Amino acid sequence: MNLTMLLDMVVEGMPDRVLIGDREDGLTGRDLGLRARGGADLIRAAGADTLVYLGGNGPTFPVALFAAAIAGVPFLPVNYRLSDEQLEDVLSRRAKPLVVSDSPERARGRASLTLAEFLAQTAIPAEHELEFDEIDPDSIAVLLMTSGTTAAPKSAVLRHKHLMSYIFGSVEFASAEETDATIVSVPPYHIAAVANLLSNLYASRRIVYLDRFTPADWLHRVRTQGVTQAMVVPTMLVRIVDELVRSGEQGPSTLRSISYGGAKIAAPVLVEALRLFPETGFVNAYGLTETASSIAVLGPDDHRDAVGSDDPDERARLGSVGRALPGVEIEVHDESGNPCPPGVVGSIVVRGPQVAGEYIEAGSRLDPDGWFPTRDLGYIDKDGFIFVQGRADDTIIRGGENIAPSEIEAVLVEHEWVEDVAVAGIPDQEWGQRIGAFVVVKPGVPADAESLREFVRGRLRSSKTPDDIVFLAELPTTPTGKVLRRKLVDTVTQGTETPTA
Amino acid sequence: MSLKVGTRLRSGNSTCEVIVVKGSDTDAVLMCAGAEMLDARGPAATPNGAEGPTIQLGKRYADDESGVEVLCTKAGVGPLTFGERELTQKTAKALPASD
Repeated sequence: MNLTMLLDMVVEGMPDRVLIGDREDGLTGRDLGLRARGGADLIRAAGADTLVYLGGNGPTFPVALFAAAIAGVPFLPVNYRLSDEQLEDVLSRRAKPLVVSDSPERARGRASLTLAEFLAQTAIPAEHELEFDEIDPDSIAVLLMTSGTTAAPKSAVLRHKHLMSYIFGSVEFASAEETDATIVSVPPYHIAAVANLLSNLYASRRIVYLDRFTPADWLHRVRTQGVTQAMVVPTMLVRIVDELVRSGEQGPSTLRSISYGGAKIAAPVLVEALRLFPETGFVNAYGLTETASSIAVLGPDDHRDAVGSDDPDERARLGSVGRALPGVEIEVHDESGNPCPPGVVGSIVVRGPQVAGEYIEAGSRLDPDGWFPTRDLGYIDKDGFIFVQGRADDTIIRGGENIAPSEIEAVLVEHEWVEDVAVAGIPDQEWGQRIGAFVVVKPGVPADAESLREFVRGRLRSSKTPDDIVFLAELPTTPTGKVLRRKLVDTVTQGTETPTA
Repeated sequence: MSLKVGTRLRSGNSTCEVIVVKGSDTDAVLMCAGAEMLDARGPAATPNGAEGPTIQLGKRYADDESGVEVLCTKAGVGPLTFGERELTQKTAKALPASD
């Protein structure tokens, strides 16, 4: 169970099918195998213990990932937007990294190659034998730095067995049609990009990369490349929907499936997306870096059923992340670690062979029974649909009352003025924390805090009414759309933005 | 011999290789093309001309009685049997693509 086995199957089963890039000049299964073999020789010749990938999306990414796997060293894709200090902190944790980067000076004296140099040097003769060494399934395949929204970044460990358990458990080999293609614009240092690469290759679905996302470029690539499947983070979906509304067009009809995940999506956006893509199946995927990607999915039928239903419980499922994948168990536990009954909020925990739950700096976080605490709060309804309410760390404790920001956000986003909103706890002498709502309003509407407060008070009780409403031009997010609540709170506590209320 | 999840096995009589996806604690033996399957880390088999159905790359084969399920990682001549029952090819699961 290792990535070289997956590559071996792809080379064997799909030698001549273009799997990476444009149909005219992309890499076939065998091309990818040869390049990865060549890349592994480079890594070995350099005596490297890690392959660090500091670049964007494109064919070099899969070649580098599989080269590292064949060479038996961890693959560490890093965010190229990190500051020099942050990058140095990451690199200094590895003894002898080989850095593939278009800014070699950022490697600070460590062995490095540009993306183009690396790719050029992976070219080996087409008749080269493609036998891969046996790699221990317990060895580390990929290291991913956690985003550090709440604490210093840690190196999440994904071993070969975790990634392969996910693939074997949820993807059918060579199940894609020859004409299928997927488009990827999530950054390569995110678990979604790693999982997306592996599952599409295994399914034999061609991967089209779009390195710098803009909604217009995305729609253009989808139309010209006949893309049938896409994965986006919610902020991308919001922008695609805006673009279609602006241009008055329907979504491209080639798209059979759009999956989204990684952050919360506002219900009105989703309803609009379903309207603009009437023939497309929507999939909400819930997963974490530490679980080797998706552990639950809300499928296309679940979406259409929810939108078309009059039953409030069924309609609510549009905001659910669906049900657990067959290979994993998901439960909600109370503070003593006992399972909660349906509908009762607690900590979401998960276990199964794809769950790694381990960091280089902090060791394994699995409990003795194998459960990994996701640090997400939520509940499971009577039919097994999982509702995620936000991070445990984001819970606001106001005067001793626990308040989930998501509950207030869900109300505010329904207000006709509100484009986007995040709610966070602001340190407060009297209450411990008070409720701050950070609001982006639509163009041309008034920034009237009292009306918004009244709107919330009318739907939730007064203790859940925001104490502060701060209007911002946009919410600070990570590149994958996770709101940086710490930064929001800083705008109030450090006065970097003047509250307008 | 118990079959452990993740174990890779090769046929002694054909090019077929599999990985165990669902295991079993019973003493039954997994056979391919009439011979017991062996640890895949050993030397590759020389096909001995055994005849049988082709075990297809990437397909899953299961024995409902024991729950054993294997995934073919290299195609080759079968059949696969477990406790003398022939494993049947499973139809693809209809999971939506999530990434």
